[in-house]
Amino acid sequence: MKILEVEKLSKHFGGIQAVWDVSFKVESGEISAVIGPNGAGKSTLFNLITGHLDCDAGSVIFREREITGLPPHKICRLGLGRSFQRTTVFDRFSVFQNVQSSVIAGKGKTISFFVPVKKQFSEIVFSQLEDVELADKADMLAAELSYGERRRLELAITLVNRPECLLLDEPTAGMSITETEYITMLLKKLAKSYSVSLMLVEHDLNVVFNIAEKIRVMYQGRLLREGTPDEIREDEEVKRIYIGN
Amino acid sequence: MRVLPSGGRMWVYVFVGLFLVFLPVFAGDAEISFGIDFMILALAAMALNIIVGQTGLTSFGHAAFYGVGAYSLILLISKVGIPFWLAIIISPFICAVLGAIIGRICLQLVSFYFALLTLAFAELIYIIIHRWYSLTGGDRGLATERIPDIISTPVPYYYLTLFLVTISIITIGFILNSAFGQSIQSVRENRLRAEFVGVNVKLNLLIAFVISSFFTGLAGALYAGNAHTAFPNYAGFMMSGQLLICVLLGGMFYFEGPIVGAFVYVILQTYLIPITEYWPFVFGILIVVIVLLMPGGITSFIRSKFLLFHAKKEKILNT
Repeated sequence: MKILEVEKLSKHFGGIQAVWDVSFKVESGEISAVIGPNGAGKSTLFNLITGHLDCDAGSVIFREREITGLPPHKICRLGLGRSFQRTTVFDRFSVFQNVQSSVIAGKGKTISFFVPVKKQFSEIVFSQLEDVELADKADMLAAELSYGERRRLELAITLVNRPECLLLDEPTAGMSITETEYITMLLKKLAKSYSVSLMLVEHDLNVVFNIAEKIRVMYQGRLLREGTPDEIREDEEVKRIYIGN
Repeated sequence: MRVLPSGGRMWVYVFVGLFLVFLPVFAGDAEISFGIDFMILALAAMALNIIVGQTGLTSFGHAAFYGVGAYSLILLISKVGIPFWLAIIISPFICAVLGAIIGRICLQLVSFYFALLTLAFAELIYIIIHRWYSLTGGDRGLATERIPDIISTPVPYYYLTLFLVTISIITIGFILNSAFGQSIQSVRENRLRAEFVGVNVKLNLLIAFVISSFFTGLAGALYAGNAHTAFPNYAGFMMSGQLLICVLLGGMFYFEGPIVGAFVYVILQTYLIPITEYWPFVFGILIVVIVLLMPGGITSFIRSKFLLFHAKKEKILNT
């Protein structure tokens, strides 16, 4: 089953065509990656899909429903989550509150007054924190965590509402080798146990070839190739872009 | 933010509450009118802090709601002819509707631009009040004789104020401690993240703005009810500034911060005015000193001293 369909998506900033006539389909449960040199339009593509930017043309269909032009919070509630290139968490909230806030929003309870929030949803929150191995730090402020832990917290925030599809913008950027290995293992495990489709933008090609079942290569705003890791590895054009002539 | 009191803080609340309840027993008229002013200012600052401390936006225009609350009360009584008890209930709702309109427009913008737009609206409302002679009496103000006898003396009005302000502050406490409260705080912490966990940011901020306008309006109405008059300067920029000062003095990240700020403000004002006619000057210097010495506000200062004391005690016990 197709979970996400992107059709002829285009976006330009001034004279620069950031994303140009991009179309592809994501299967349910698939782990895929978008790669390409800097400025290829990968992050813009994510921003268009999640409603952070309005597209000039084209459409995005999620679970057989057109979501083009919907505001981010609506798209998110439909089950399409995302993480950011720069870690985006609630700094002065505790780790527990970070994930709890996500559950509140996911369940559409942000306009409920008068019931003290204190321990609400604590079971869901703790089971999620255990899955990313942060349960013992639940009372710490997010700002006090290490970089890798903050990355995992962001993952917990996006995963706790069990999205059907999750877009991860460079999940291992700035991490040490051990941290990278750990998060790759974690992503593989969680994607399977939650049966969520993952789509990641990643610069670390080791991670990409390790984790992805399908790879899409972008170059100058266009979708250049789409294929299995083996096909991409052997592709002359891709080699040319990455290694040069 | 921990909102509901527990342990030691609970006792502080109980003590302050009892003190306020029994104040009229041993105090004279001056202290009672001081108490009324303090409670009203505390409520207004508290209401403003829903925006400043909780959502992280700054409003330079909250006097608009204070002023409209005051004028609504007097106009409803004197021109529409409805009784005081009904007017004091309706006035905050008028402010809430106004807040919904102004908030809807201002919340199109963020941070600095939002603050400027609130200021622009407040000035607009000030000008309307100031110039619309036939309705508001312009700078001569507006008065009413029809305040019920039972509350036209200080002591009963003191208890009416205490009752309404206490209920309001408890209500605000519950609201801030709810899922809604945490959601608007999450917008303050990271608007982008809040949006991408599924918070309808604009709607939540608008509701916060409406709640804030409601309670600011109630404070304004209470003030006008006490004074039996309303003047354009209730809606002026100085009033907005005064409320912001209370919030900053007390500490915007603490639930009781605005109450502490309002208390210090009223104390300073009461004791400085008789001493020198240049009181705003002295007042300004004092505020600069306090803000520099206690960047998180007075509440943060008191709490850190208190915690230090506790830490020391524990250390002694442990050794």
